[in-house]
Amino acid sequence: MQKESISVKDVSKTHALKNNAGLNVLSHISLSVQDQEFLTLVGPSGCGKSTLLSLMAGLSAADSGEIRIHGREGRAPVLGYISQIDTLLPWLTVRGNVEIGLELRRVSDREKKSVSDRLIHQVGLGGFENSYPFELSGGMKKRAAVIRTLAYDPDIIFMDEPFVGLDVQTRDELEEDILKIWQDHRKTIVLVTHDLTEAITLSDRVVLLTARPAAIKSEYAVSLPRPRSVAETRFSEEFITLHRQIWQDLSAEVTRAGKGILHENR
Amino acid sequence: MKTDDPSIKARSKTLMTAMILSGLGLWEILAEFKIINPFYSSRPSVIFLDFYRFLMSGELAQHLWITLQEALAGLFLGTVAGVIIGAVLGRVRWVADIFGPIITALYGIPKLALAPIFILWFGLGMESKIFISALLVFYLVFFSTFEGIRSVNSDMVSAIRLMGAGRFQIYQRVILPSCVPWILTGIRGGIGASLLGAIVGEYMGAGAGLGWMVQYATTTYQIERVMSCLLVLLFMGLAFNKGLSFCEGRLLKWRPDHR
Repeated sequence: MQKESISVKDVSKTHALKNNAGLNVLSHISLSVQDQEFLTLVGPSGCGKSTLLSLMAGLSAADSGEIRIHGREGRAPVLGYISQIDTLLPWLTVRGNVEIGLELRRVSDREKKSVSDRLIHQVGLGGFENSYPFELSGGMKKRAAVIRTLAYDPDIIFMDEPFVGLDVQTRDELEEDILKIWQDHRKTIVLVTHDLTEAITLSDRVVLLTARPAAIKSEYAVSLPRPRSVAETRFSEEFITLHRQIWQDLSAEVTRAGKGILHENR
Repeated sequence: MKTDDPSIKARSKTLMTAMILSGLGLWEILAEFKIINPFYSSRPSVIFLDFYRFLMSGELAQHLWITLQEALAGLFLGTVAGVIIGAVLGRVRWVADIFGPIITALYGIPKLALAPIFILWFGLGMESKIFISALLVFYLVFFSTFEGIRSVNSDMVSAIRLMGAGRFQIYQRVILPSCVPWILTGIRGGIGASLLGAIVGEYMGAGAGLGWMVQYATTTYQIERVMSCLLVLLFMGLAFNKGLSFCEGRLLKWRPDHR
């Protein structure tokens, strides 16, 4: 049997609101992520995907239920978290940013350099080692942010809509990078996204959440063979079938969420 | 149109020089025809002659050195105190709640008006001038450091925390570096304040220094000497600012507007 990386058991969460009692965001969610699995959470906007992700990452605490990382409760000691916000340190060069996680761990200069050199070249940032973030394009910044996380070698990486705001070509390129990175590094990755194409292309399993309060509606195993490439997968029979299936399920939830919003406003 | 075009830069430099020279020429002419009284404001030719004598006699260097030491020491001590206290108050809520209002209340007192009492406390030597100077610099650096700490990007802080940084590392790697532009802004204001503190301190009671020289020359009606001293102070201020710009260039390479 495969090793379990993250286990979520019967987790609920309510956000405190100013006016009324509270907004029930997550309702009795149970989920298990295997070691080295690439899992994606999709669902209607505002359903609580990101909340679930931040609970798993230990950024906030659940109201009830239990979250275990490698069988232990509490935040994982070494984890990666990539959000849609640019959090590269602007006063450090690309190399400085990539090495920061290692620097926090007092790794020797030689090792830092060998790790950052390898990663920088892996994602095609060679020649930009000494550039500052303001000199990079949006896609390059994102690449730097991804390899900054890889550099200190966390077992689990959480990604919260990491490619929002980038143009389609850049997204495709970054997805290609992520596929390659997963192939080479075999991390456990949990991704939150709106983009079904991205979800199917990258993951082993897609979990669809219902409209708020989010519960798990359905799960889809993506059995597209690895190593994958963005271009090849996208037009395969399986991809298209899966895409249609998830899309239909999701749009039912989106409609429900829309009605829900109308209800709340009344 | 790009403003960093070298030909435009050269042209504005020429224009500036021409303006200064014609201003000086006009002053000379007006003084020559007694339209303005040279007794009160002297005239460029006399000032330059006096400046030359002041320089050659070695007096200039002697007084400059004293004022320079006072201003630099004041700038240094005021900056160090401002950064440390600003950083602590910006980060530790309860300390800020206790000391913040006190510091702000004391800020309301016109500090130069207290110069006589500082001279009483610290004597007629350089110490009293350094103290006044440092006090003026402190407030400027303190307020801008405090603001800088308060406006640190919290997303960056939590990103680094998630990467495993401890409290001290967060301070060292994120909070302090992001305050550098704020601190430099404080120091830029502090340069003028440090000179002001040193000079006013010398007015109040001293035996040497450019401020003392200005005071002495005014009471003996040597307006050209007063003007020579002002010229020295002008160059001193320029040199301080040049030095700071150099530091900024090195420290703020990472900002798009500092290339």
